[in-house]
Amino acid sequence: MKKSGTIKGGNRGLLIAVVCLLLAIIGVLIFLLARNNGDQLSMTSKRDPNAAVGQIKGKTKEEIQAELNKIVEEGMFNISINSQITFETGDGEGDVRIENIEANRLLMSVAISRDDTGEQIYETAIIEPGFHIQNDKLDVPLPKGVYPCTAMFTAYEPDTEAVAGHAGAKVTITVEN
Amino acid sequence: MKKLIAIMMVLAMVFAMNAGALAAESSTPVSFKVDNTQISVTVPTAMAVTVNADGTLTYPTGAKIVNDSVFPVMVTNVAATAEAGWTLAETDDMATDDLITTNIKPGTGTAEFVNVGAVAATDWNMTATDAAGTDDEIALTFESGQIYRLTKTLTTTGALAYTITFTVEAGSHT
Repeated sequence: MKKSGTIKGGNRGLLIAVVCLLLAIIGVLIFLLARNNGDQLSMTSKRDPNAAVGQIKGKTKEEIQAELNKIVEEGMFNISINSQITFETGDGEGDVRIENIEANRLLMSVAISRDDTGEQIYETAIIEPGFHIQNDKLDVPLPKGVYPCTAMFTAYEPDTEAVAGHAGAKVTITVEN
Repeated sequence: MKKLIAIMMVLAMVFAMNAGALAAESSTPVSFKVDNTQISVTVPTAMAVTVNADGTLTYPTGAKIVNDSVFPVMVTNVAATAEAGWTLAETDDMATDDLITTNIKPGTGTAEFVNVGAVAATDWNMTATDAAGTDDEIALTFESGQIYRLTKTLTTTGALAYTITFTVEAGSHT
């Protein structure tokens, strides 16, 4: 008859094996946990000295709006020309009165084209702010007549001479003789 | 003799006074010559627009056209031209990349697609500069802006997408 509470030699070996297995499993688990914790620790242990407290600082809606409005304000451009240009003769001088006013920040050039044919009949070189052309000859002499035309102004950045924009003005050219 | 001299002096004085009176009455015409053919208008040539995360556009609010002339001026044409690689359209076609829709509104007038073309509405009229030197202007409002299927990489320096050209003329739409 077997006595309860006693372990025979074979069972003892089995128990030891089970205990060892459990210890091995626990060891593996501890290792894995330790590794994970180590990763987390390494992440939190390195603080970026450039990081600042709080959320990323961006421009507010009002700041963006103000910036957009400033660009428009700086890009305002005055165009000024005689809307009724008269030439005594087709190859003579007429009172074009083109002005790049001093308040303009941008450079300017003007090209005049006939509305009926689209032909360009006059073009200036670049005009600095504060300068004007009082009288000038047409590049293409015209016979006597009245010519509806469009004066196309081109604005340029003063430092790069890159085109900044265009604006047109309807003018009438009259050649008297 | 003395009486004769006195009478002559009195007459001379009378004539001198009359001459003075005549000189005072002869007016010197002074006329103000108005340079009434110089058209002078201020327009916006540069406008930056920000693209929001959802593709909608934020426009400036200070865009305007100002009449600096001494006579009424009207805007006769508003032409919007897309730069290479961009498309301007009244509505989304559900297919084209980098397609922009945007409207323009003059003053309190009606908003319409920015490439208006020939203009006839009186909202585009500006009166002459008044006696106090105040210039009339048209406030420009841009709205309903949206970019569809944006493929371009936008930078903070901006990418030129389209150009608007205003044409003005002496006179008023009726």
